[in-house]
Amino acid sequence: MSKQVKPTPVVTPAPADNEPYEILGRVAAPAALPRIQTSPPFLYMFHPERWTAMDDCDDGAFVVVPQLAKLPLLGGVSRVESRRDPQTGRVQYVMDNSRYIKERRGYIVLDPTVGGVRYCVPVSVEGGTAHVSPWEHPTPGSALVGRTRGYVAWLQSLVANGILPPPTPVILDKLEQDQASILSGLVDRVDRNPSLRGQIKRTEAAIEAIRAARMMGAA
Amino acid sequence: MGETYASLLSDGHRLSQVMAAQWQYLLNDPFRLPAHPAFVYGGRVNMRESNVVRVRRLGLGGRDRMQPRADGAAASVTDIARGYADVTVSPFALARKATDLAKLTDGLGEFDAALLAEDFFASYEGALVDLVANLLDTFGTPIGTSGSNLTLATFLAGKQVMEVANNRGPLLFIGHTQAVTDLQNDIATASQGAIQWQAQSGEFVSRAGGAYKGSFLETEIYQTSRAPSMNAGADVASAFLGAGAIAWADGVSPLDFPSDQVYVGPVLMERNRDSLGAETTYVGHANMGVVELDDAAGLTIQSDAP
Repeated sequence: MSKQVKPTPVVTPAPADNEPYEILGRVAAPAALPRIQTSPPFLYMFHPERWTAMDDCDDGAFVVVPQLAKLPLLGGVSRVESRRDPQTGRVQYVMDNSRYIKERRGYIVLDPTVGGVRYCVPVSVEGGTAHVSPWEHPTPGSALVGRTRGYVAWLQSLVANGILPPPTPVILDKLEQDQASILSGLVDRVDRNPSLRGQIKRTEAAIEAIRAARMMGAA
Repeated sequence: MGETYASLLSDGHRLSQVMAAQWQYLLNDPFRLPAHPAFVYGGRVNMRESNVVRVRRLGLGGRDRMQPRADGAAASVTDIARGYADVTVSPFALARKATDLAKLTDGLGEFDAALLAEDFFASYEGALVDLVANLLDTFGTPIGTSGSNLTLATFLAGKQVMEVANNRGPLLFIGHTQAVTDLQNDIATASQGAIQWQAQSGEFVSRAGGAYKGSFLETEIYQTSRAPSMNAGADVASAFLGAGAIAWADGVSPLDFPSDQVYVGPVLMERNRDSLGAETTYVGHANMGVVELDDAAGLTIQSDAP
């Protein structure tokens, strides 16, 4: 004989007496976790050649900003070594060699709280822990990741405060050439595939932003 | 009538109240590092007195051209090696634990040692791919348009950059799964002519599942969902790789207790019995490391995230 389980008060309202059915077995399940990939903690790093035109949360307002790469804090990658501190039990990442090989190639490795923002945030996900930026918001029970504005402004503040150097005219020329090459490839085929118009619009906006950045640099 | 108490269900654990027993592999990213000249094997660190392997880049094979010498003047010496990358090999492990109760009720073989051995080896190969994937966003000046799908136009622009930088084919393209499927869609929908123009276009577009997506425009294409995100999650990284882009090295853990240890390829698998707790632990150990060897031998591509 089955027994009636008292419904969870918040989630399931008690059925009215005249309902033709009753709901059984409602118990609290553990909180669902995001279904994104696990990923190691990271340090952002910047190379003077790495710039991009992007908009914040697809708002269409493209600006030229530094394009940061991730230096994963993962033993075995790019000379990172990890060990456990016998005193505290905490994992330590030995970054001396890793920083050296990156800085030798021109990278600037950013402090984890540069610009007043702790930019690497741990998130519990299925299978372990993922590390994302504070502008990314993994969704519980889903592989989707929401985003909030602020990343572009943070990057701009790093340049404005002299933490990162501004782009050189050569870099901006290269950026524009790359985007122009992509644009011509899209335009050549838009007659056959009209849905490429959206990509064309974004690429044109990126080129406009690059030209604006060059004008500002020349001013 | 039997009752199932959902409150006793615990993710991944079999308990007596679960009536139907069956298992299925979790969805996986079955990528194994391909045998491609993009990956330079630095060797094993066993008995090298260091866990670091240095891979040098040499200017041989005609890379360094003869220089004009004034009659009577001494020739200047050109170094053979003008670059190197050091690979630090680090330990990795995967551990499984089973109680006697779990093992004696196992009717499907999920705690079978041979199955676990196969699992450890596949896990080792997957971990090596994960290490490589972590390097995909660090090559050169990335191209692609932020927030835009990867298209044939971007793919061709990237291939051009690689060839201008003297990377000879066949190139390797490791793309985020989203990027590769976007590229397939673009070719399938926007290039009516392209599919007729080259037989491999059709092959690439029609290939589903698995990491290897085929060869397209003299480029071997692989996909992985482990590629890092870029631009605070707005985009994902993919990369073209030419010969000598990435160096890797490994090491094999010593076999000290043959009765409880066995090699599965480069993986040392061992078991440990806790008689008081009636538990058996299986652990697979491997040692590996990767590093970017030549920045000019790779190119990061950015494209819209899922």
